Amino acid sequence: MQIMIGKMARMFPMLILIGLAIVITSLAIGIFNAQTAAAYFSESKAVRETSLLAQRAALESTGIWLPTFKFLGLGLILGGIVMALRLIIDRLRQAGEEVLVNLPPEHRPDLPQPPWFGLLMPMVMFIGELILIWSFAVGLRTAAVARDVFANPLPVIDSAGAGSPLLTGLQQIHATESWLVPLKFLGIGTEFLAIIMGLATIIFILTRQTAVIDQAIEIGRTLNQTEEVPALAEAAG
Amino acid sequence: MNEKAPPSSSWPLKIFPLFSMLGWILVSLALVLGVFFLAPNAAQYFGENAKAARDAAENGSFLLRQLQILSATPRWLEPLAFTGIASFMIGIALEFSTIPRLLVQRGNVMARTFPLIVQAERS
Repeated sequence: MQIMIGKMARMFPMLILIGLAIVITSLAIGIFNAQTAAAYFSESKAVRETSLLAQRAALESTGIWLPTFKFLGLGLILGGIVMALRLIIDRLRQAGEEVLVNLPPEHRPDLPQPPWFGLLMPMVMFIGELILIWSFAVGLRTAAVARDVFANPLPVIDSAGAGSPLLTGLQQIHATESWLVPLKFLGIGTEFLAIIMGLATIIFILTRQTAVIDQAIEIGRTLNQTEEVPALAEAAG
Repeated sequence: MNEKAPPSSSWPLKIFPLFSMLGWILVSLALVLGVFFLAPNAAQYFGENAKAARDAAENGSFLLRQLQILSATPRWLEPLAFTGIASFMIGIALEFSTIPRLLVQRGNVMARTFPLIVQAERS
């Protein structure tokens, strides 16, 4: 499992590029949406509420799904950073192993085991991505409801009675929006948590490796006086 | 052993988990409030009352109190979630601040290997 994650981590630039593409696409859609809003609000209230139904539906639905799409892009970029941290962790471990291989096996100190937060890091990152994908899916579904509701003239929506499909749609839109905003933040927060775990793992490895190297030097020094150390013999030619 | 104290005892490394935890608590609190407080109020206000009833709500009525909640809460709920994200970022910054000290310590240890290699080359 960890080996597979290590291989996947090498694809971190792809995650960052996809995230960046999503954020730039969101910007383009935002600019297009702004033009629709400018055209919509340049008309009188009576015209807006009775004739420009498609524009109103587009404005309302885009306002719901676009933020979740942007957050998904940001989440993918943060996921790429987490994978880059994983790559650094793997390389640090490899470097540590390469240094210690120069000592005879019977004198070689054990490499420190990766901490629990280091092993959990990719999983936490994946959970964060799932939260963001889920919030994007909910955003799309709610946007579809908004498109249906606001395709009706505003006076019709306003006159809808309790229990009518229009009011149920309105209820769904407002209720979902109430928790969709904090859900996106939870997804981003989970990605940040994965980054914190990755950095904590790097700090753990650097601290422990320095201690192990220090220990290895002492072993090497002792061995240098009694027998041959492979790396030193190689350095001496 | 290396004479320098390990940076693992430095204050940023001691307090970064607190900031991470605070970030997690604030972001989760925002979600809990959204799901269990704001969403039921929004569902009831918009789903059970026609616009005419909502507009006719009198001062001090339950409907107006719900409208007050729905208008006021999102204004601080989003900043609360942002504070949580900021707390995570402070945790990350604190972690980064310890890495230069760790690298200095690593450099000191590595510097000790050179006399050993030179000694081996001479012999």
